[in-house]
Amino acid sequence: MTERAEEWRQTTWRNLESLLLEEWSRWGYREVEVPFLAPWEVYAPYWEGREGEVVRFLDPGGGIQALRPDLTPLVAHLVREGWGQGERPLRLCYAGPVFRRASGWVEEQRQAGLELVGWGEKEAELEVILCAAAGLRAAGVEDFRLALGLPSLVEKVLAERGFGESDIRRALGWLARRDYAALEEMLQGIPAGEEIHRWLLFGGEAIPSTAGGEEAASLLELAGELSRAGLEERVVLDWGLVREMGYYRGMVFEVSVAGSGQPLGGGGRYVLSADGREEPAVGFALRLEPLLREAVRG
Amino acid sequence: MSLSLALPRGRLFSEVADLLRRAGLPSPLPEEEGLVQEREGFRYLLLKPADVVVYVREGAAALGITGKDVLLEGEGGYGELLDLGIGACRLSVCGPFSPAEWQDLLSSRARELKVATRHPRATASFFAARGLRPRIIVLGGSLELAPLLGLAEVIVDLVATGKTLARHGLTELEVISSVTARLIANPVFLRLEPERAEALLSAFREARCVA
Repeated sequence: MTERAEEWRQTTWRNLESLLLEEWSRWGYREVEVPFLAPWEVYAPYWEGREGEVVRFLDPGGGIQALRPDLTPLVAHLVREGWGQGERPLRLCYAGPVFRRASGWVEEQRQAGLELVGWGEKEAELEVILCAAAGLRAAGVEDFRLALGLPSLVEKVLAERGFGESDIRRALGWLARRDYAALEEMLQGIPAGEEIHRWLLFGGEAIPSTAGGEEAASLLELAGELSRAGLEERVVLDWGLVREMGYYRGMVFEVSVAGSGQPLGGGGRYVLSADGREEPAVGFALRLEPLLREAVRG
Repeated sequence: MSLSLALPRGRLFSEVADLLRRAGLPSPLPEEEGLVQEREGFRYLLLKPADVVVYVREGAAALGITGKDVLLEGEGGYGELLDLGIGACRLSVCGPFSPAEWQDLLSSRARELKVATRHPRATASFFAARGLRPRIIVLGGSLELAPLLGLAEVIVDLVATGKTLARHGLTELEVISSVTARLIANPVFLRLEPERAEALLSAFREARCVA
């Protein structure tokens, strides 16, 4: 890459980042700077089972440091440490690189996202998803899909069919990795098993269960609100959507664009806990490389 | 717009071609006719089995067919839809001695063990489950030569009939996993075109070989 091209690339990163951050500041989100390095303890509870992807090393004091693999745990940590104290709901947004080990090298990805802390109502979820959509539109990406999911409903549907805790954990793991073949095998011979498999893979509004009706209704209501807010062509229900990061509790969502190969990003509801106190939070992050490609192409 | 389907060249190809025919899709031509083939609304990409996963993950192909052994080595990023039942074989530990001699070797010299394979991940996790960490030597092919030339004591490779093994004086010692071809899909394709994906999935479900 020539120096000029690299400069263009850098400039475009900055343009894209400031475009998103400016859009989110209009929604009341304050930009925060997040350090690149943090003690591994900050990430450990969130990255359990995926430690191998995190770049870690010993500091001179003998502690383990991590190069940030994602931003949500760090923002959550800083909020627990007292950031934005007394300010609720707390609205924070950020942009910058994260680092992950791929096979044999370290990958740098750019991300931008936001967190809304201290608001447990449905409106918080609505606001955060609308911010994601507004960010995409600000970047010039119009033809996106917002998939909504609710893993706790999947748990109820499977429990109703007589599956125990460990089977349900396994099924959620398969959904996170999109191993629908393994899931199909597990559901074989179960009453309405085929129907459940189809529902998890291809969605639809009919829930093949009497369990979790209230939860399902809450997700349908959120989808309805998003439609009324001008996203009717963009919102899809994806009942089998389980995010790989295990920290979400409740609604999750994912953003996809045709031709992007992998989803651009996503987020959902989680719980921030500090000193035995728990606070509701919603957040998301978008990967900027594919977003930039879309923005340039769009 | 034509739909891109990544197909595996080599061992699996003729069975895959039969399967596509049974599923009502156009037949792919032999690879000499071209590695990219436009066939009645489908674009077939003829790739190395390991590359099928990459094309599907990156969205350059909407769907793909490849062996489960390849999926066991990969990083994910695709939806695994269906066991197609074709290309049945085993990923096995093989070596130039009897099963009893193998057990002896494991109990006496496990620490010096060298294993040659094209499947380092599956191999490592198979041995790790027994508390062993043999030295794993990754090769690109012709694994049968490794024990004969002193490169490794055993190999981990795909075994279908066992004829190649026998020809080189090797025995199948332990099965790590049974392997068949799988239908995989790009996650964004699944989300953006669920109707098309569902129709193709049921066509393949009808056409697959059920054991």
